[in-house]
This record gives sequence, structure tokens and C-alpha cells, in this order.
Amino acid sequence: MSSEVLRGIDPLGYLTTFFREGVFPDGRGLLDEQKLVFKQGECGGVGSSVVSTQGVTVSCTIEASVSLVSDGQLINIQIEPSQQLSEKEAEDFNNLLLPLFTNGSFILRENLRCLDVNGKALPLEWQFLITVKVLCLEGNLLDAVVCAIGAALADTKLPSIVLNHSEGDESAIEKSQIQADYGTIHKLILEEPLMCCSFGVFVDNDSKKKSEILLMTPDIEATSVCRATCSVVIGKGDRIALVRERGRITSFSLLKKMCQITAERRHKLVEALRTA
Amino acid sequence: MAARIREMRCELSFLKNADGSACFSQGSTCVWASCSGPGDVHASRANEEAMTLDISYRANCGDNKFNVLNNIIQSTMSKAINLELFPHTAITVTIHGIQDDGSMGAAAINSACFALLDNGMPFETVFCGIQIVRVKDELIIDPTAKQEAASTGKILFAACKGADGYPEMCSMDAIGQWDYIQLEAAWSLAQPSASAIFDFYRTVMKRKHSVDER
Repeated sequence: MSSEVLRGIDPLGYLTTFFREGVFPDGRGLLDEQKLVFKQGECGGVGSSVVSTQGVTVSCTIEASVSLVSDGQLINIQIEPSQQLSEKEAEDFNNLLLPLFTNGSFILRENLRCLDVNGKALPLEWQFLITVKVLCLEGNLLDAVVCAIGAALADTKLPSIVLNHSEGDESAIEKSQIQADYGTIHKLILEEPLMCCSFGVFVDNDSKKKSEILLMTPDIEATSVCRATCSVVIGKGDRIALVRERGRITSFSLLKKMCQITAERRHKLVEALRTA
Repeated sequence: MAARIREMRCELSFLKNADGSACFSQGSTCVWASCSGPGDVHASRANEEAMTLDISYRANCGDNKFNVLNNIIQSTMSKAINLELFPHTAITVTIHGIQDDGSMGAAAINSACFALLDNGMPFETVFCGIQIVRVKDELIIDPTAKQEAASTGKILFAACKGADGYPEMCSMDAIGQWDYIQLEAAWSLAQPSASAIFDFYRTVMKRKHSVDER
């Protein structure tokens, strides 16, 4: 029987043999990282990026508008549904990512104030619409989307704002009194980059110990045979910004290992950005 | 650490037209859950090998098209019920948030489990939800809405009964700035509460199936 036939009729048996040897079918180690490629400023808007990692390619575009200072939400995220991503799944990812903005993991709210030519904060705020398009989905979307948003925010360049409204004037600011000055450009002050890694927990039922094997960034095929999956987002000071775990995990220490691996990967990203 | 969950109340078979239903409250948080099925499913949504789960959580305000809780409830239920027993069918579970005084996620998961138990679904394991928040470095279990609003981190655990009878983590959503030690402490705090909720399930189901002695 050819291995391709075995793969089709018994994926669990096929993959188990590889996982026991500590590799994925493509020869990658179970905890080996995959290449992350990103390109900035290619998709329009005030900032954009294209990220490709683990079989997932996404583009992210940021569109900015100016609003008066308020308590309202300043960042809105929109992952567009595609053939590979249903509307329900897209909306679920939107809801998952939004708290990362509301709790200031990407950027603090005070850093979204509009600045004048001299860098002085004005009583106006930037509102962002972040649009993510899924170009290819053969793995975990969250890893790529978190990187894409971070890269697009880092690429964001905002014009200075000229406000023709004196400070003592108590009348409402009119739209005609606000003008963008593209002669002076400001970059956003961001928090330290976030890193997201997804894991699978595979249980080898044929072995005596029934041990839990940790898989880093499993593809769709490997994920389908995992008992549990987990996505971890790590931010500033190696603090956990978000965890989404699905499925049964008997040992909580696995989560510790996932956090450590994600933190190490984040350090590598920070180092790469520093040297770039 | 505040390690007590608020008083729970549950009334089963609460809604006449559903196969299984429950009115569940945890402190002042109240939810209604109903489930209907396994029943016919449209050909486009039918799964040849397993039952289709249709979960809908509806809050008491705002746009209810999608809710972040649907994902954790669906994932937990798919692990707790052997879906392969009912291929080509679907079960619809609808949870209505009636009054929100915090820990709505946990209450929604618990009520969904009650509705399924009332329906007589064969479980692989029962499940429950426990919400924990961090306020000024203190972990609070089953927080009120006020405590939730003041919190800097929030975790929703879905726990199921393990083979040894102890609670096992089935799903988790954590948001906020956490470190691993705090997450572990939160899970340690959640485990006794999960056991208490499982005991409450047993009490309620015992009451439902007892012969009226009056």
C-alpha cells in the first residue's frame, strides 16, 4: 500500500508513526519554528503588510480617519470572509482580536491622539479600520493575523493635523477646521510586538503511557488528529496577552511550555526587528 | 483569593416547546437555555459522520448575530457529547442571557449543559464553566458585573469530569496581561468550584428523576 493511500484512509495511523519519531511528515521537527515572511507598505492605506507563515498568507490594510476625543472604540477590525473562511469564523476572529486593542496590547489609546506639526497633541483622535484579507489558509490563521496587524501598525505613517480652532473657543470643532498636512509625517508609538504561536496536543493512544505530544504550528491535517489545540499570544515582558485553548489537556505544564516557546520566538522577532 | 461561587439555582423543563430546557441563575446572573434535537438537518449542513451542532448565545442587548461565547460553548459540547452517535442530524442549542450580573460565559456553559441533560443526551462527560477575573492582583472567581468591569484580566474555563472524577480543563479563553503562575493559580482556584458545580448537577438531576413522595 502506498503511503498516500494510507494517509487518505487512516490519517491517524499515518501521522502517529511520524509523531513517534519526533517529526512531521515533511521532516520538520515537532517543535521547530516555521519561516515568517512579511512585507510592509504594499497594500495601500496609511499602513499595510502582507504576512506569510505556516501555509497562511494574509494582507492587512489600515485606513485612518479623524474624530473628536471620546470614550468610543477607536480601532475596528474586520477580517473579510473568503471561500476558505466562513462569515461565522471571520466574525469569531474579529471578536477574539478586538480585546487586544481595548486592553492596549498593540497600542495605547493615548498614542492615537492627532498631533500638530510641532508634535503637540490636539483634541482629536485617529480612528483605524483594520481590514485583513485571507489569501491562503492552510494552517492557523491567528498566528499570521497577529503578525500582520503588528507589521501594518509599524508601517503606519500619519500626517500632521492643522486645526483652525483656538483653544479658548468653546464652540464645536467643524469639519472644515481640520486639515491634514502631509509635509510632516508622524509614526505611531507602539507597544512591544506581539507574537502568536499555535500548538496541537496529540495523544498517542497506542503507546502504554498515552503521553501527550506537543506539536508546534500543526497544519490542518495534523490539527485534525490532535486532542487539543491552543493559541498563545505573548506581549511585553513575556506576559500572556491571550490564550485560546480548545480540547482536553490533562497536564497544565504543557501550557507553560507553550508560553516559553512563544516567548522565545517573540524575543527572536524583537531581535530581528532591532537589527533590521 | 475569593474562592466561592455564588448561589446557583436551576429549573429544568422550563420551556414547553423545547426538547430540553433550563432556567439557570448564578447569583443575579440569569440565563435560559433550550435545546431541540437530534432532528432533521438541511442537506447542505448535514454531516455524514456526526451530528451538527448549532449553538447560539443571545445576549440581552446589542447585535446578536455572532457572539464570542458561541465558539467556546460549541467546542466544549463537541468534546462532551459523542457526536458520531447521531450522524445526519442536528441539535440546536439556544442560550438567552436574561440578566447579566457578571460571569455570563460561565452561566451560559452551565445552562447549556443543564438543557442537554434535561433533553437526555448521552454524554461522554458533563461540563461546566467557571469565570475568573483579576482585580488588583487578586483572583476572583465567579465575579459580579462590577468586579468584571474593574478587572485587568479575564479567564473563562470550561471543565469536564476526568476519568478519575477530578475536573479536567476542556477549553479556556484568557484575555489580559497574565503570567503563567497566575494562570496556574486560576486553574487551581477553578477546580474545587468545578467539583461543586458537578455536585449541583447531580442534585438537580436527582430531584428531577426522584419519585414524588407526597
